Amino acid sequence: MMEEGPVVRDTELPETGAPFDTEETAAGKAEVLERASAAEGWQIARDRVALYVTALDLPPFKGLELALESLKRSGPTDVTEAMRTLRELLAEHGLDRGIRTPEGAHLSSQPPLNRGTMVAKELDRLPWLSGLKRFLTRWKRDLLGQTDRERHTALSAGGTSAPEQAKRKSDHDGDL
Amino acid sequence: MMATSSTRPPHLAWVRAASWRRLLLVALIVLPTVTATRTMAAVLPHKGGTPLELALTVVFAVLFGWISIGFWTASIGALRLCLGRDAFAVSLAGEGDDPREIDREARTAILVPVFNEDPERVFAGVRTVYDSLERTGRSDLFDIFILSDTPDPDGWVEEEAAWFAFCREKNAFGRIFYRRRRSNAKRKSGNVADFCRRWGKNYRYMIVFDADSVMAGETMLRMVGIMERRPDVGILQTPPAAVNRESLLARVQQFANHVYGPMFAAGLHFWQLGDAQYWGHNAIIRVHPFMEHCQLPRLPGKGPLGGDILSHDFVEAALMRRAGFSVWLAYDLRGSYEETPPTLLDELKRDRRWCQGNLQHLRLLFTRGLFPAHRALFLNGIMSYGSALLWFVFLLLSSVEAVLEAILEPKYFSGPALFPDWPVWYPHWAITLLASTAVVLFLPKLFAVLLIVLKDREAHLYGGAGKLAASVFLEVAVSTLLAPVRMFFHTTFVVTTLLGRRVTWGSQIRSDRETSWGDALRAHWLSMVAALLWGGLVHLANPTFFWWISPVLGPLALGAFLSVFTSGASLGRLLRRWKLLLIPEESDPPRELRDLEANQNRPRPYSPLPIPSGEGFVRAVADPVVHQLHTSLLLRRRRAAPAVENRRLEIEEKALALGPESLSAREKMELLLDPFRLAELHRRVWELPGRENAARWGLACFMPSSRR
Repeated sequence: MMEEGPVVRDTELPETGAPFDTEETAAGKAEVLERASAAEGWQIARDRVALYVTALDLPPFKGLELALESLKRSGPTDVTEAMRTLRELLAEHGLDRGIRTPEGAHLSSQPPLNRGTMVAKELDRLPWLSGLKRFLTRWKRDLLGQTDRERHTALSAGGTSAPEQAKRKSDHDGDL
Repeated sequence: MMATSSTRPPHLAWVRAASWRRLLLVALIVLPTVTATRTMAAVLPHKGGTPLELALTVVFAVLFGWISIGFWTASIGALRLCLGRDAFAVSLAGEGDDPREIDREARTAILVPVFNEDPERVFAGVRTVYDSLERTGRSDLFDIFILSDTPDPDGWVEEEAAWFAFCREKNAFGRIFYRRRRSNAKRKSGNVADFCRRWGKNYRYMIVFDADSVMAGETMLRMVGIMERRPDVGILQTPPAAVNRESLLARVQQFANHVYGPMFAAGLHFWQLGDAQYWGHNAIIRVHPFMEHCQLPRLPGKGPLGGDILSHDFVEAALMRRAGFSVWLAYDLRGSYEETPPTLLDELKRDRRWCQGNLQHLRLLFTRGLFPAHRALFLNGIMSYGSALLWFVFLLLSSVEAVLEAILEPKYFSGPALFPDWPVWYPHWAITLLASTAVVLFLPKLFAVLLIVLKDREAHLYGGAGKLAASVFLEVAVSTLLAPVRMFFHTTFVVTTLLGRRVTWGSQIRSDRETSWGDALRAHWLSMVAALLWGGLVHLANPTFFWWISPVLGPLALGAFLSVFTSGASLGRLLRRWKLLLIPEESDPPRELRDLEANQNRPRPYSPLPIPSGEGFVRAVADPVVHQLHTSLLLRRRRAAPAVENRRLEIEEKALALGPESLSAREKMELLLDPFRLAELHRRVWELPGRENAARWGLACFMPSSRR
């Protein structure tokens, strides 16, 4: 299988890191360096692709097949090309759609929303002060009558007449 | 069988009993306090006649009354436990019921709020609870929600990965849920309220955990059964047993919790009945009335006493009670566990938050509609820290009095009397007063030992009667040594809070990490210097009084040493080998705690990428599975504004050029919130040409041929 693709055999490449012959020409050195670099790139690509399919936690044969296929397709090239090819292969096999539930649905860590309300009620933390305020308001109203603003508020609140509103409010305060 | 309505249930039989009992408590506190205060005044040189002595006497009266509450609570609790069956015990409801008959509609959510916790510990607890519920055969009633407020980007990804691994292993998708809030507004109470708004309507009850809570499935099922039988109950609190710590301090706390805890809980129940406290975790709550009545408002003002209510649990209980639902402490339910802070510094850090929260209750004391019992509980919470300040003031005033007595010339003729006014010192009165205070403090400990040895016959679980007694002495010794240190710190907390300093909210340390000398000295230097100065001054002016006050100043001067000494896990383990400070959960661990330990020691799931634990961001970028998981769970997939896009692009470039360690938490968070940028970064990281650059992201090769 390996012979079918454009595979670079290890034997065709020099051992990277091998000592250079001091007598070699500059051109020869460059060629050796280039070949060493290509070998390095090829090894990185091979390792990276294999690592990716392993980390992806695919079934063993599936993962290795995809890695092999991507290396065959990308040829003796760098890691970018190898990984691009692998991504294309994953997409072809439908393995790039994120994590799904066992039923194949989109994974969510939360149940569907079922909205409710939770509203803070006002706390009357100083009831004697609010009691005094209510008393003064009532007293003022009894002495001077309702102001325009109070009348407007009362009407808009219930649409009933002002004395009825005042009585209702007074009763409400008493209940509290 | 159950009440979903949040209307006010009818007046209940326990209310009258509670009123009589509280009247009895007031009498039991007032009468001895008056007697002790008179004795105290008589002991003083001027019989309480000077302003200084008057202040001393008043402070003493408050403190004596305060410790009397504990004494009578413990005493009545001991009596209650001796007598056996309690007609008002909430656990009587549904006793003997078959759990299989619990209504299928009694759906219960188990809430695990987390804030920068260790995900491995959190999910070890969740796994334990899940397995325990499975064993009951009624796990269909329960869903588990991990409600994360974790602001740390690495922690966020680690939590997601842990949730996914657990659900995949147990096939628990749709039963175990994970939700992270972007803003942790109102902290834990806001976290729970957020759950209520989103999914509260799906559940009749919720059981609230702390990140370190564990409860037995049987216990939770029993709680649901009680709630079903008692529709008037809004909150049912269990007394959590402190377990699983190894440091000396934590083992002392655990021992005290086990030996004295049941007695105090029974005593509290005796006074409180349906007006009990909610401690914020290990409790079941009726969701509908909670949503309707227990949302907390913000307190006006910007100081530490304004803003969000920190100690929310007290207030929620008070609001639930105000709405007409009772709050009960199921003091006899077992199978509820929590962990305590491992070191003194961790405990004090927690106390700093609690202190501010409890002092906020000063502003809620007179709130309209609250029941007097809950106002008293607010006061009780305030006094938990306020008493330290009073004790400090008492010691200070005593020292001033002693120094003045030594410095000033005595006045023998204070009025137009013919005979001199001799200052008379009655040492036997002072000793009587000291002895009676000691009785109030230590007699409950004797009651607790007698209960264990004679009634429950469980001394063997504490290492035997002899070891139990020795452990009590050890606990008393350690607590006595630490009491002045705690007093000093609590005093500082109260004063700084009242002066307007806010506390920052940090996560709690839950591992047995020993305190270093550097940390201890940084924390305790002020109290040590203050104690040395105080002691030196008193010794110079009045050497006799110095010996009276030395039991307080001595430990205070040794604060750093005590802090380091009590944080030692090796010392705690040594004492356990000697069967000292042993608790039943150590001598005969219940199934849940054994499971918890095993779950905590489970190996991490295999990953070919050598990314260290805690590097969640790197995992989200590099690990293909975690990356896919994270991007799948991100709800919002819309494009951000161009300016934001550009900023994120810059962060991405920076990450690629300089590696993940170059990013701040905020930058990591920006990328984690953007699935497009994250996917792009994932692609580019895997295409990095060099081995060294790739290794920064955990892409170190595993192939044998690779050179690293």
